[in-house]
Amino acid sequence: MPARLVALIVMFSAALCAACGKDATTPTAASQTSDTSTRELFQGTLSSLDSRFYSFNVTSPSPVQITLVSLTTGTPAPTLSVPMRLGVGVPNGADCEVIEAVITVPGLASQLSVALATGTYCAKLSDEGNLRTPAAFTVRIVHH
Amino acid sequence: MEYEMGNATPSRRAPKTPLTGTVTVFIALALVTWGCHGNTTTSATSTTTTSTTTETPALTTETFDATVPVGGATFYSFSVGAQGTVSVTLLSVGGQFVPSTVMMGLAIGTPSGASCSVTSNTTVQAGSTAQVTAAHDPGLYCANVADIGNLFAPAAVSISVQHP
Repeated sequence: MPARLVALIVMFSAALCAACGKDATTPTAASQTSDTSTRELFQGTLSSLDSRFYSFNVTSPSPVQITLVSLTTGTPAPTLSVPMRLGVGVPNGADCEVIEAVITVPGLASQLSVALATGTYCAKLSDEGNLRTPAAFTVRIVHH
Repeated sequence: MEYEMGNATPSRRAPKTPLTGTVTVFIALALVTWGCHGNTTTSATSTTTTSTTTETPALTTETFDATVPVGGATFYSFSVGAQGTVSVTLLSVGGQFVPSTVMMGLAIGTPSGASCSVTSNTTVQAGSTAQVTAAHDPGLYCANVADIGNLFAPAAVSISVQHP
């Protein structure tokens, strides 16, 4: 009788250890975050008093960053520090109907950040009379 | 026992009189009349007419003029507010050295990048009836006109877009 009791206690303890052991020995995987944002480059040439726009599709509500990265003219290409109008809007007719805009010079930090719902939008770059000659530009658009 | 039952019933019946018969006839007539009366007052069966109306979304027509460069394209963005048919018409083509009968590419697409992204072009000649029609869900679309290799000079085009 005592032998059977001891055996039962040993079996119970073993089962208990097995149940608890899993938690203690299995490492929890670290949570991972992935950047699902999309980066698009809008490049072209802009003449004095002209404007250009670029359409992009936002697939989930998110902040959108638009950056006038560079504005150059001539060869070799000197960077221009000319104020330009950079906007975001909705394609409408033959143009981009701007809903928000800033006057900015080229830079590496985003000059325009706006929260947008799912849909099709456009980034628009316009010269308001500061360009003397046609200039090559690059605008970076980061969105989801 | 059989004797008592048999003798008891006939002995208690009242004798039939002419007045009793008349009353019976009147009651019968009254019942028949009431029964018929019931039939005549039955209300007519009412009928309910259910009508189904299908609302047709209002159509908007937009017209734009643009220039198609040699080997290039131009597009016009428009917003479809309700599910329905979108019709695009290349109304006219003109310009120096550009015959009005020149064949052009016409399509409905979605604004993408610096252009209008289309899946296929329909080769059309300018006319007054829609050359491209398609059913579309609400959303943002564009009408694209492109040179398919026939232009020797920029073409002035006029386009009409009809959409819900």
